[in-house]
Amino acid sequence: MNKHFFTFISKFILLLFALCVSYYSLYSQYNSLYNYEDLSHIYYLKQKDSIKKNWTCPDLYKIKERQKKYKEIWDSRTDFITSAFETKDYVYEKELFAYLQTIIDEIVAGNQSLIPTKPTLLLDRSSAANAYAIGGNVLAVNLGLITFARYREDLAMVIAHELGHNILNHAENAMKDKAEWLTSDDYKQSLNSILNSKYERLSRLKKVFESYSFNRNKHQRYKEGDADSLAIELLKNTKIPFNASFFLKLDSSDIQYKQPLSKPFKTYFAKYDVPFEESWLLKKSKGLSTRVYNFKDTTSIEDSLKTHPDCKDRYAKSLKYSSINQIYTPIPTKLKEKANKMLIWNLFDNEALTACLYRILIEKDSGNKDEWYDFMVYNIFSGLYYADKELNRFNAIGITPKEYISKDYYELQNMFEQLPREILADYCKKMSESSFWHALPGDTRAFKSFFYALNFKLEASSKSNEMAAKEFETSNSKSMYREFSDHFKKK
Amino acid sequence: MKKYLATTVCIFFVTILSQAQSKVFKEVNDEVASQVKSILQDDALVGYLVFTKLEKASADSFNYKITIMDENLNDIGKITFKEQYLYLKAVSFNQDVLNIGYLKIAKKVKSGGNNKKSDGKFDFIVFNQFVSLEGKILKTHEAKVAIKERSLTFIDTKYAENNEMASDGLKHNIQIKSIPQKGFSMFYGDDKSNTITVFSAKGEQVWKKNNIKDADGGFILNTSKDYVYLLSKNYLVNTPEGGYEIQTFGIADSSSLDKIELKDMKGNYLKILSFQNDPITGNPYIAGNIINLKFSDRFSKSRYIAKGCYSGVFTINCNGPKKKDFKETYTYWNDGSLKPGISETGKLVDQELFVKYLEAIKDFNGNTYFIGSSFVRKTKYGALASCILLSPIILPSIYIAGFGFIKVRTQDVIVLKQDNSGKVSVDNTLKCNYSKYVPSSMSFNFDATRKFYEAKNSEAKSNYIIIDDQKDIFIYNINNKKVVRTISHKDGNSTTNIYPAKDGYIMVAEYNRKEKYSRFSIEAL
Repeated sequence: MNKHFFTFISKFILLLFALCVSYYSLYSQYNSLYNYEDLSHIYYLKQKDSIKKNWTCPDLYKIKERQKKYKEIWDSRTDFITSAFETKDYVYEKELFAYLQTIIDEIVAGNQSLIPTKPTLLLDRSSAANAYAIGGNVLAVNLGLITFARYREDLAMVIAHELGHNILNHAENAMKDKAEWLTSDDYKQSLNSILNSKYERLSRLKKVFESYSFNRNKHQRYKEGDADSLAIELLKNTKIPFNASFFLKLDSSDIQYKQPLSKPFKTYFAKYDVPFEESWLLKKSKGLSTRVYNFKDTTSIEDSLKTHPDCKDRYAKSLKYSSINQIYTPIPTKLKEKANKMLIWNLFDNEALTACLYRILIEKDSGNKDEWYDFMVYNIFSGLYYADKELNRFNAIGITPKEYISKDYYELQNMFEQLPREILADYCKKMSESSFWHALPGDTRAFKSFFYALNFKLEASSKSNEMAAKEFETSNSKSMYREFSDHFKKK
Repeated sequence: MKKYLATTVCIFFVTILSQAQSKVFKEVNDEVASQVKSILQDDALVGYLVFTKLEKASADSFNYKITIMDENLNDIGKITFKEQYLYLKAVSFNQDVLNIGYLKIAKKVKSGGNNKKSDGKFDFIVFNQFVSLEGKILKTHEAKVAIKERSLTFIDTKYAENNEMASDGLKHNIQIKSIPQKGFSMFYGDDKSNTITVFSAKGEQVWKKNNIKDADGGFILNTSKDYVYLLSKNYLVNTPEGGYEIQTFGIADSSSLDKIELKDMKGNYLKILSFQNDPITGNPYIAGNIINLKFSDRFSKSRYIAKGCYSGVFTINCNGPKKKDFKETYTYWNDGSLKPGISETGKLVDQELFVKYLEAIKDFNGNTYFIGSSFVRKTKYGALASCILLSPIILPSIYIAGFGFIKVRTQDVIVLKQDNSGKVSVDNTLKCNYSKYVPSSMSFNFDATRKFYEAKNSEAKSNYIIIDDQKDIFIYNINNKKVVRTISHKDGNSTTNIYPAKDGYIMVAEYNRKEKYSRFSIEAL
């Protein structure tokens, strides 16, 4: 009896332990993205005020007009960054931030004389594989760069490049150049000659700016070259290996949506037990988008207007500095996945639903079975249904011309466009009852209920939507998904 | 689309540039003017064209830009060119070629001697550009037109210096229609003649006729695979809503027969509500009301409609050039078949409603639907009593009587179905926005706040009617007999309007007054 009792108790304790472990792993898996308070409009509130207060325009020019113009440009930079804080363009995520910060700290430690003050790092939520320096010892790294880069050294190279811009005062000098040009006699004379001319005034005006842009961009390209050289130096001093081939990889940074899917569409949706018809993927319009058109491409940047040197040139110039036989450190998968999820959420919140689902399908192609992505699939279809109700499905799809995207992306766009309203409602309803919800934490389930109410339960009025949003916020005050409910608040 | 590493500092300079030296920017910007037109092929919207006058290029020429957008408002290409003063009039598309029709105003040049000098007067020219989807101007055509002094009042002789574009000038505006699988047909009329031209899809002129008899009420051009149809309207004093004639031209050989006068078998004139293409055959059809000869000189006012100024409805399928090719279906209110639902004057008996029909649509099953605004007429008992009570004081009672003793208001939208055999039935009654009561005497335009547009989804073979009412826009699916969407014109600070879009869709334009932004969206019907 006793023996049985102890066996039962030990089994019970083991089960309890297993449950605790799995709960903890789930908890850490799903609650590790970030909290609502980590978004820049809250997290960087103090920094925003401090930037507003401390970024005062220096008195550089005796000529009043020039100083005034310089101040205008200076202030516009401050406005740019502070409004980006307000519009939640940045986020503080502990692990990603720490990872990037260690790279910065390492570069700073190896280059004390060049970087006497610790730079301010911002994590930009954009999906573009990019980073930027805005002067004032501030640099921002996009989530898109973290998902795009493979190695820690790649990130280090980009960060060192941006630090290089700040060290060389490129932003500050560009502001000075601009103020000087806009208040120069040459500029004024050229504008006066336009005012006095009878013909081709727009063309002349364009020429004035193009010649400035040409000179500036030519100069900018030198600056980029300088930043590249300094980045190599900074990395060398830090003993972080330099990998020139990353420049070549950058050339393919815009092909995310040209990447094909590995499975037929219906297989991705089979899991949710929703109807699917191949005909939805086909473009039925007779419109010009379906025709073969081939106008001279005026959308690409002319060589003279490019601000950056060609990636191949950058590779060729820096190849000799590349570390030989180095083993590079892959960026931890966990971090990359986190960045990808944050990026996907941001795309969803910005109503870029096709891009958002496409990234999820690519993730599913890699064998990722994380239920969070199913949660996002539900959100995307619910978002599409809501947009349809609000006469905004077209903008939520964000139709992109066929030449910029893969065949699969094009078909997904068609599906989003042609999915009948009633079937779309069916998608939302069926997905809301799927089994994957059991594996998800409370705020995602609460978010599901909020979204469901928006689409199917509430009267279509801004007041009732606002009330539902408030209700969600009250019971999920820390949830990152609160960001979405902000859209329903009265401004 | 390329994204480059490290976009350092340039982002926030753009705004500064646009603010700089605002006087120059304002003046240069004031010279720029744009016109937007839908690009149609066989009645379906396939894209949009934006025509922009950029700047004055010389004493008598301008630099222009054409931006071609697909049906989703994405730019697919731009063309720039230099020309004399142009005013965009019509656009059509066929076999990957755009036919763009302009009215060109060119300074007259005195010939003689080596130096050509302008005498300050103008030549008016109908100018066609044929543009391929490779962005090439394949061909241009010019035809001088006669515009008398009367029309010149529209055109400021200083046109080149100011921003005003000539808004008119031609007696009958340029119309261009695509001819399925063949090319284009164009019609216009000046002060001397009316001209019809057929072009191949590559822009070659196939034939041209400029001996079309004038019609003071205007012309409407339509095409089928083999014929060009020209509907004309003459103003008849006794029957202002009638006076229609139709003439047909063979596309291949320009052969034409005499005009066919549009009347029913009893000699009643016809009021045309629709002259479009049948979605099944692609041939034109004409549909509308049969005018009651007894009231033919009185129309539109609610009291005449109530008295029965229309005798019924008709559909004519134009299947060829001759009268015998026209399949005519007439249904009369008084032929007995519509009782008890519809009275002999066209009144809906059960609902006690009179109807003014404003639109006619053919569906994919061969039926014609007539869409109308119903109205009720009521006696103004208050005014009547006041008038009697105040009758000893003459002036006030005359004043009250001046407004009449009957008031009118628009109510439901009526959908009347006429099938292939001519059988007519009330298909649906739609609750839309009721208007306020207005005195019957002032009810010439009592239904002006309600407009109807047709839309269709060719893939699903569904027809829709868009009811643009005073407060709301209703999208009604004729086949399912269901209002599929109701859109408020005003929601808080936003005003919403609906415009035509690609097949199966509508364009929703929302303007937010407070935040000063416009949003366009192309939404499924």
